[in-house]
Amino acid sequence: MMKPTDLKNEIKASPAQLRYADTLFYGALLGFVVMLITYALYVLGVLTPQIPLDEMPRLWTHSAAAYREAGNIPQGWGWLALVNKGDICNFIGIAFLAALTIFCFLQLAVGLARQKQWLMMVIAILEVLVLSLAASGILVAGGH
Amino acid sequence: MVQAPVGVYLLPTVNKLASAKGRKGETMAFDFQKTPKSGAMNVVVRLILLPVALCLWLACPASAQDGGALPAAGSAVTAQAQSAVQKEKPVVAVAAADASVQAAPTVATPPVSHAAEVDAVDNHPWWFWPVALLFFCFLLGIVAVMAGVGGGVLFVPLVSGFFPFHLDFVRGAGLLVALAGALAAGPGLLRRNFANLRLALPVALIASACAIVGAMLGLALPTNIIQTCLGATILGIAVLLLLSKNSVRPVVTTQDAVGLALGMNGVFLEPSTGEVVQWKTHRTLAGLLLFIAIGIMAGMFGLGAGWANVPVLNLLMGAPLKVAVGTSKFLLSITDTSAAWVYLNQGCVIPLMAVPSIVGLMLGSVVGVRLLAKAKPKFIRYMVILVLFFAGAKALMKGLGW
Repeated sequence: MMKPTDLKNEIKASPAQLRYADTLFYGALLGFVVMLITYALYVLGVLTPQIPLDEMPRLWTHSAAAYREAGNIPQGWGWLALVNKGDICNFIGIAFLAALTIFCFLQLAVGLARQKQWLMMVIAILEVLVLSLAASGILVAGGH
Repeated sequence: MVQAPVGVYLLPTVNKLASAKGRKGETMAFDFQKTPKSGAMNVVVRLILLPVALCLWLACPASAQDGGALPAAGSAVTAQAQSAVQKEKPVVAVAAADASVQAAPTVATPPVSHAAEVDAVDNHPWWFWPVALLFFCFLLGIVAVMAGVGGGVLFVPLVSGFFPFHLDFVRGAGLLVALAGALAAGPGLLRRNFANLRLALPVALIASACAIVGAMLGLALPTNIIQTCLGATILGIAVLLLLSKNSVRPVVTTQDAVGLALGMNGVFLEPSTGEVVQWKTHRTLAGLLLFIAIGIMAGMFGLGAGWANVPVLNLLMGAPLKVAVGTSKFLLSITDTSAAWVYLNQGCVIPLMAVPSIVGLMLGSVVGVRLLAKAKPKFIRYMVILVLFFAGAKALMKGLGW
């Protein structure tokens, strides 16, 4: 059984957890803002899209493979080369939001190492590796 | 298969509510003007059910087309589409007018299994479906909060069933919707210690690795198989929501060795009573193994996984309900990230539909939290279960080609 003073300390989130929360909060906020700005640039026609807006209703009824082929949409990180296009630039905010957890886990791993919580630190590093593998674009599923 | 308007399915429910009111003797027909004082039920019917029914009804023409049937009225098929069909059903006749489009030099022929989809021609303007999706997701966000379910589990079956988007894009958007919700909720849950990192980390590692496998499987398998499995899963989720009785504070007498080694225990302050609650897990290994299946399903169907996380963390592993719910929401930000990357890298994310979905659902969640005080969450929950049964059956039938 824990002592009352220990319990009081335990109620509070650990410093590593709080840092994680802060990074997540500010990162998500930034990601959402970027996402909204790029979306506005896209639908208001400020940036020319890779696929014209009028074509979209005929493309989104087909599979992703057909969509990629018809619109010359690259797989993986190939979109970076087309980032000046209205539709493609939306991936900046989306990719940032998706990458946020990786940054948070890197920060967490450092925090856990400082606290000498080695097991949790190893798990956090493994998580970074798993998410980085998913983000790398190496894993390509067969189209259907 | 020609899709009947959803309103046909939902309106009897509304009428049933109307009859229930009518029993009090005023009128048998539901009159919105005459029942202003009936609080929660009125709010639910007026603000949620009718707009949802309207939105789904609006979406129906597309679902009819998506089901492979040619529209009954010839006006729905453009001349362009007719010529496209004559040319052995090309995927898209990309407009030559816009020089910015780098059209595929040769016309791609779709797989045989998708031949029916090629017939689907939508003559709505480009903004119609994104705007419809924004409003639909706004309502979905309200309902999801009040029913205590994540947005993803409702988004994928309903949008794939009643909107013209291919399942690949719906799953991609579904994962982003769930991810955005989790990213928004995560910081608050972590700060209040409702989401526990020690509980989340091992579970997240397993679930996120398996979500990648699930996402790859989901993109490799034929759409009809995925649609069938999705229908079966949604029906299973509806049964799970109907039968599972979460325990606020499960009794855990002794912590198992795995839970002890991973430090899966903690303390949180119950704000409503000011009580300090200590908790620990048991049956940890079984719980961790179940997250293999949860991760695969989350990635395969783009559903999010709160519907499965909470029962496993709470009922099986013995985490208090608040910790289970908080940790589950936080977990989605990790599990869905890995699956979302796979979908993103495969071109399964169309910003034109994904962004309105995210924005609509997040705004709806904010309104839902405010309405929560007025509405009856239990009633909404049963409504959501009913909608899940309906959406699951529809996805199943669509997958089986019935």
